[in-house]
Amino acid sequence: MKKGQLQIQETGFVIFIVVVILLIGFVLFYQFQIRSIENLNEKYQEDKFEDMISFVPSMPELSYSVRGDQKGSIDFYKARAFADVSDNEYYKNLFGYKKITLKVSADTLVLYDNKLSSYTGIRKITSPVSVYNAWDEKYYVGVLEVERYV
Amino acid sequence: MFKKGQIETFGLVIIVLLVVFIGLFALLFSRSGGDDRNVYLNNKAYNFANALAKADVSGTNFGDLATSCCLGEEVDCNTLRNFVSGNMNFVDEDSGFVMECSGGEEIRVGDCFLGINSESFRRSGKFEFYVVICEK
Amino acid sequence: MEKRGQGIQFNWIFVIVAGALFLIFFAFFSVRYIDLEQSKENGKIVRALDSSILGAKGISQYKVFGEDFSDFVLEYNCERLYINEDQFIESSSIIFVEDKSEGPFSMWSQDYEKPYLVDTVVYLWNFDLKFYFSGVSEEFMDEIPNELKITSEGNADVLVYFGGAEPNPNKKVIAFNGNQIWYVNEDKYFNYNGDNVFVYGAMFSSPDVFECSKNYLEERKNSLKELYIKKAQYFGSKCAEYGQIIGALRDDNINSIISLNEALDNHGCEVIY
Repeated sequence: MKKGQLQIQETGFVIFIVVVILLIGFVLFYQFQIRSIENLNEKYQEDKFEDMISFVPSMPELSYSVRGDQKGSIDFYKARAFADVSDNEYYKNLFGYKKITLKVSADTLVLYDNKLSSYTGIRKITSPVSVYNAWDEKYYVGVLEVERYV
Repeated sequence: MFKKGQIETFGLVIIVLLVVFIGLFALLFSRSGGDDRNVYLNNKAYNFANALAKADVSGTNFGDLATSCCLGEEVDCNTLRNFVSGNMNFVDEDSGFVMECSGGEEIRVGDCFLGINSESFRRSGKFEFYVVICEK
Repeated sequence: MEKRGQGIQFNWIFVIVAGALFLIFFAFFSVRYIDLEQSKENGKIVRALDSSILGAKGISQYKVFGEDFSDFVLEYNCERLYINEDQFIESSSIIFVEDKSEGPFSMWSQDYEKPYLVDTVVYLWNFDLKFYFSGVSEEFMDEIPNELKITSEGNADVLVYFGGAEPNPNKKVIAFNGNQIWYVNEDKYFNYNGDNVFVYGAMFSSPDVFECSKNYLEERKNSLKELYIKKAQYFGSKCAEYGQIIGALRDDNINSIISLNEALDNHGCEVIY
């Protein structure tokens, strides 16, 4: 090969390699940005899940009230009734694939349970909650468990 | 053995491979940094403090028990401590309970006092208490 | 001599081609980068909207959403809120909104009680939308937020009639007759129980969204009704009013439910709600 031809080939090859490096760099940057957007969404979903320890006790289905005046506790007998009515489309749309349990004294109430058919794990959060038992007119400290099927 | 141009080209190929591998590792390990669980722990601390504030204990309510303890009834203070301590088992994280009587006495239960605090629950002129939860 | 001249020409061609390749590459990169940044912004908007809706459910109120963001389009299919056909969030709230509309939005939330609280319903509509009402009662107009833009029939975007109506290709037309809601242009009818919450719902949403949100609201109301009946059954032996309130709940007799609930409280019995 002549010297000039060799020189052009070499220059061409260098430019090619630089373009390849730039392309790879761009692809990696793009993937990183996409991942960053997905991470933000995942974090938001996680925050919403953790917020359930505030949201669930304040739902009209569970919160204890006297003539519309909220008392800041779960009504044990409403919770017991809710366990029987929660298996419908509205609550499945609201909660998704989760299990919500209330434990107070010796009682364990499964308030809602919608299993993901082939789940690989369970993510669980718990919180102490105030529970009012209207039968003996006493307030107890119970535990609310919310599990998410993944 | 190698001509000059070939050595330089070989160097460029090495750089490309390095960039690819570093990028792949960066993608693999790029997770959102540091979970901020303060909101969750704050909600949990509030729920716990609220549950204590409303609870019925040994035939009386928590507020009356705390008032009696602040007035010097040591038996009631022990009942209160046992009640709070027993319910701390419901919290996965380390937690603490701090009550300040209006006379200046302080009751502490638990093993975490520097963490996320709940809002204070108070009975005017008698006591004020809050719950603390520490991140695991 | 010729060969050298040809060599210089060839060099220039080579430089131009290489330069063009780089330019194309960077132009492509810039466009993709702008798309990515827009996607991030869309994610930010949809999360902010979801938070705003959850906040609105805490207390009945009116507020504006989206003034701080650049133009965006909201789509809702009763399960997901989409921003600019890109980022989305699964919505867990009952919302009445057009299936596709542009921001910024007016947001209004209202308790739906029967007489127990069923839900705090959220309405969303484009901030600039103007309304015209015909045949409405004063009570109805008193409930509407003052910020709702009301104008003449000619200038309005949404025409609301209590009575008959004619289709209009340029405006949204809703008519209420007896226990029916009529989307006039689409010629779709829905039965409703006379509650204003469904009147507002129809004003602010498209027929498909109205139908599914109404169904969700009624499903939740029925679940709560069953729940309160069960609670009354648990306590049945303690007070006579429980048997009566069960009947009132089954009949959806609001006035009876209110008075019987009060009677329970007055007799020292556990209230239903």
